[in-house]
Amino acid sequence: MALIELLFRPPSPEEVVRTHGPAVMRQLRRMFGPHADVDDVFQAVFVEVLRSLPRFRAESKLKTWIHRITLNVAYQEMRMNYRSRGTFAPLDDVSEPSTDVDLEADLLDKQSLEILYAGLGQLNEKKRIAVILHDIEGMTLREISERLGRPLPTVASQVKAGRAELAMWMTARHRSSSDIRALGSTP
Amino acid sequence: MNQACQEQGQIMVAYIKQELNPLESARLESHLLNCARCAALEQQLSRSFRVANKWAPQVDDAHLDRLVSRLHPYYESSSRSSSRSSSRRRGPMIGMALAMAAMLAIVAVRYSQDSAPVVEPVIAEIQHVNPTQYVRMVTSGNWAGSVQKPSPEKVLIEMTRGFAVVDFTGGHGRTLEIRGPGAVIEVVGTRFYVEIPPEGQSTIVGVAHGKVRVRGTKDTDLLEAGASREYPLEGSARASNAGTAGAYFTDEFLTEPVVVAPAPVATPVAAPRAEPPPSLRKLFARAEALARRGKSREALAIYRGIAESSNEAEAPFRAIARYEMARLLGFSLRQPKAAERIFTELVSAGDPEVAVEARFARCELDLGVDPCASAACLQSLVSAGPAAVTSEAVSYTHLTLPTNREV
Repeated sequence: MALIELLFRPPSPEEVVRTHGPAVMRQLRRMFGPHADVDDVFQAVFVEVLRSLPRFRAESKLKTWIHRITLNVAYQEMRMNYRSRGTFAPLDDVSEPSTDVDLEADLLDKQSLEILYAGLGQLNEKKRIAVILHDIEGMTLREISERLGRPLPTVASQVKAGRAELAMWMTARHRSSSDIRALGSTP
Repeated sequence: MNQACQEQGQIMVAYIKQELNPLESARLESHLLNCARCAALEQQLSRSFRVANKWAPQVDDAHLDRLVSRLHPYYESSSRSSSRSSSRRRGPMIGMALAMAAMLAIVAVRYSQDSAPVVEPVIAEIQHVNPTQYVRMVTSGNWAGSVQKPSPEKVLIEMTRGFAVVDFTGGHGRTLEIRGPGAVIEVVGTRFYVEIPPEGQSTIVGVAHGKVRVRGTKDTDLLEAGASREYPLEGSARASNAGTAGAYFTDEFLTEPVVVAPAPVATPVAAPRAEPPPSLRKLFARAEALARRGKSREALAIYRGIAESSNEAEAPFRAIARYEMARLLGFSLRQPKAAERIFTELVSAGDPEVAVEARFARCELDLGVDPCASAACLQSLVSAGPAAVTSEAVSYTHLTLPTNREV
């Protein structure tokens, strides 16, 4: 019976956090951007996980279940803090461009990431989460529809509208600053 | 920003993600050649998404320790409710434990020759699927995908989640193709398993006996009995020792012999339609080209001309022209009521081929407005129309029905 007991011994709450914490943290950073402080969201995710763990019915893998809770908590967080997340470091804060090609490429990559998340921060939470999951996380529309419990046509239109707004925001930003032109001239 | 820039900006991300059709891509590329601002925007978006897709934030141990310790107050309460909950469920758990012990025994025997099998307890409910008499599947309870039969000899399965052990009896021109993220599996006659990990970023294929050809994004492999490989969406295939499906190889459902049912009675087939006269063929081609270019009203006028023509040679094609008219009205010109009226007329008209298409299109009209009504409508077609339409209806039904509600 030792084997069975081992098999059915539920992982301790701390084991759950230690095992799945890094993946949740990576997921949250990719959802909120490089400058966002996601520690509080992380805590909210695991408070919910630990609260619901006794009711986990093993109909899906624990990892999938935690991923779904992460998406829900992240979505609630975006809804509460609409337009306050996706903080964007102004380009003035960035040090002088280096003559070293690799360093310059790194800098441009960093700026590109910051600009993207600043743009995503302008979208409402529904469009934002749809664009992030589809275009950054690489999930299909159907997977997003299943994970978020939204009809497929709704998810598709949210991705489309979010992309259009993102491009509009970037264009408007381009008119007030010249960084896009500067990036455009870089190979 | 002018109108053209605004229109092209709206589809820029779709262009970067290579989702546009060739015509739309060519139009956008031509715009980019003449508009420096949009070209710069395209470069910026392209770079941003490329960096974001590659970005893998690191979590350092010290930071994780801090986060783990912040959650200490919640550990104890979680353990308490967990023990209460487990004592309530002890009865069913003992039964499940015995079942799992039996399953582990089977897996242990199955994999005793392998060096380090990973046996992961799968407590999900098992489903038995029998798409044809030659294809039988045992799937996990969380399995998601669609099964299509483009022809009596061909079965096409698209998997998005879970795992499936598949038993396929080949020969007589029968083919089975399974598609998962990053892999297309072509089967000749064998027993094997397919698993899509929860992230949905790869497909794992393992073979019990026989051979399976797998086309990944980079490699094409011929897997033999005992082999197991994982095919990611990006990058090369790698060896996998996932053993979750081992126990299901011996499921009774798969091991019982195939009973070949008597050949179905052939259903009466409508007489083949005569070839359209060349002038009519040109008119159809012109209308189709106009519709594709977004000139729906011009296309509609051509179809209306055919539908109202008094030429006897064109009579067999009037129903098709009316069907195309209704599609333009419903899906391009946003006149669903007019479209529905025509589709309804066509359903009860004498042309059986057009009638089935019209029934299907009538369901599609609801797709953007009320997916549930659309799904119910398509569901009603599943047991009705000819095989091709039925399988398409099945896949649409699967798409539109909201399945997995959030936790």
